[in-house]
Amino acid sequence: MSIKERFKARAVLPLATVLFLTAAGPGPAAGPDMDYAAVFGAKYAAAELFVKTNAWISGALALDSGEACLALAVVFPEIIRYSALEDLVQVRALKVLYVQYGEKHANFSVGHFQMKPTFAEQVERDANRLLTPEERTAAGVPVFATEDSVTRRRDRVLRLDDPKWQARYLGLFMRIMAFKHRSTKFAGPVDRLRFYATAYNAGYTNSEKTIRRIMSAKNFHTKLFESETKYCYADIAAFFFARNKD
Amino acid sequence: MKKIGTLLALAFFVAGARIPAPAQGPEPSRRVIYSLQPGEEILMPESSLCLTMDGELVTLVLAKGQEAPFFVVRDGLKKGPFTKLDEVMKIADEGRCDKPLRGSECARYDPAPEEMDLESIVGTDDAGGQVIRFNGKTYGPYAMILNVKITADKSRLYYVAAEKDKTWFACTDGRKVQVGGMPEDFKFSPDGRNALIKMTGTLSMADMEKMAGQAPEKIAAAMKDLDKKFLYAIDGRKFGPFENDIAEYWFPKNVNVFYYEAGGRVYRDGVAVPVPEGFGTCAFYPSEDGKKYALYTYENLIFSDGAKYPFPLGLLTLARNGGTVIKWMTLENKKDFVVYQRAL
Repeated sequence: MSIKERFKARAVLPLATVLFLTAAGPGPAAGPDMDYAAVFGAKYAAAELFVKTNAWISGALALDSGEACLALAVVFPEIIRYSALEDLVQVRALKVLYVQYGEKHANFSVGHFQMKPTFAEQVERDANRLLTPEERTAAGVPVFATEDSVTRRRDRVLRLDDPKWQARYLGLFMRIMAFKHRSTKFAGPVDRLRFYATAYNAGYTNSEKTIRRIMSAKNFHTKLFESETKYCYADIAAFFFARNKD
Repeated sequence: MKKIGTLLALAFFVAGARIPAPAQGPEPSRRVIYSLQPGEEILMPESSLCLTMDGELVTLVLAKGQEAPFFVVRDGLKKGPFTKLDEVMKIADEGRCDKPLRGSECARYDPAPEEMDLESIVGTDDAGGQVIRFNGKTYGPYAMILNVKITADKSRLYYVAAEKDKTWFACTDGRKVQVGGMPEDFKFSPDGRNALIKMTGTLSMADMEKMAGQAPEKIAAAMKDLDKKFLYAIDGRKFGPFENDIAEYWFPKNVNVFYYEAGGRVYRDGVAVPVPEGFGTCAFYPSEDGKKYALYTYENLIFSDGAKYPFPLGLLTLARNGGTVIKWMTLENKKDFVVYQRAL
């Protein structure tokens, strides 16, 4: 093997491994018909590699294995987006504006799961309000101090910077959704996943009716700015779930 | 003009308590580059890369209530209105966003790898050994070239090469250090003249080969060697062993001296140094002699002389007169974009 081939091999080996691993799972026929692995190409492979090489995330979610699998599918499109934009997006200034001035400057996304400060604020409030002390303990989180101050906003941004905390927020989101929609009838795990994924992407404070209405909307893209080609967030989540649920 | 002056005076008055004068050290220069007009907002979602400083340039993308018409403020000049976002972004990004912005928010020097044609750089000689060809010279032969990186100014190439019983960390400027163990990665300084490699263990490839036929307990004992980590500088100095790994090793963006963090302590050029509360490798800008620093947090830019400036949005280091000048931007009174500048 030449030096060039060896260097190339070093670079492509993990992706090849991912493709090998994922090829064994059910194909597009088992879920939405579009092959999103092909649509997003290297970005999809990079996102999948991130999930596979960060097995600690499942543990940090503090959920049972079925729910953890669902939770990873919920955020998987965001991981694709983060993989695509990681080197381009600068959010430090936006984080400072949020710490300094608060909610009006909170419209930006942080980290692999592309969480917004407003999402974290809502999750904190709901975790305090809806979850029992036992559930919060199981999720590994305290009672959140939610008064609006520079210190609290700074602490929140520092938590969003921490991948382990992003996983905890995601775990809390899953618990909160389970509580809020405990009476909602789902056609099966994929329907529930599509519902949760849409809620994660579009705002989980939306009503069941609104979430259902926008579940098939095509709003997702991986460009820095608006893109003419957009995809359905819930479809991508379901595609990933179908290929990895076993 | 009078109105702007009045506004500025008011801004100083209102914000006076939040812009503390430094206890010591140089007074920063202060320049208001733009004041948001009533109803005008900075375009926030996903377009944050435009809120950066690049030398003397500051670019802002503005909108009325987040929607068209859009405006660009660049070098203090406002252009617009524009109705399409891609149109406005083309103007905002012109000449500055064509390179990846990797690491631009961090104090660590972490350049994107320079593109190189490996086939023309790494080749073989007549005897089948591997050689490096760079800027008209040939280096080697070696049994195997393990890693190569070119410095940002493209004047030097660092490489790791192995022979059967030796591993080399070398630079095309002629410096060559024999290193033990298995190479992990190496980093070089912003000026490309200093470099540091992290190694695992002390066993050479030949030692590893010899282990193949040995008893399992001997192999297990030898494998413990892999728990030890070392750092080698390109000038030949060796640091370690570090039993509990090396948390970080890095060159700050503004100086050419290496730092590393191991065993809960931070070392500068191999010597343990105290670090301020809130220290992080991405937030710490030391001076060239290591005696001064600036710490860049979400809440403040803190200088080692005690001066503290609130809410720095972006920070840039400039090399001036053999030292570092720090330039940063803030949004004061929810409307005034202000650029400060002072020596470290």
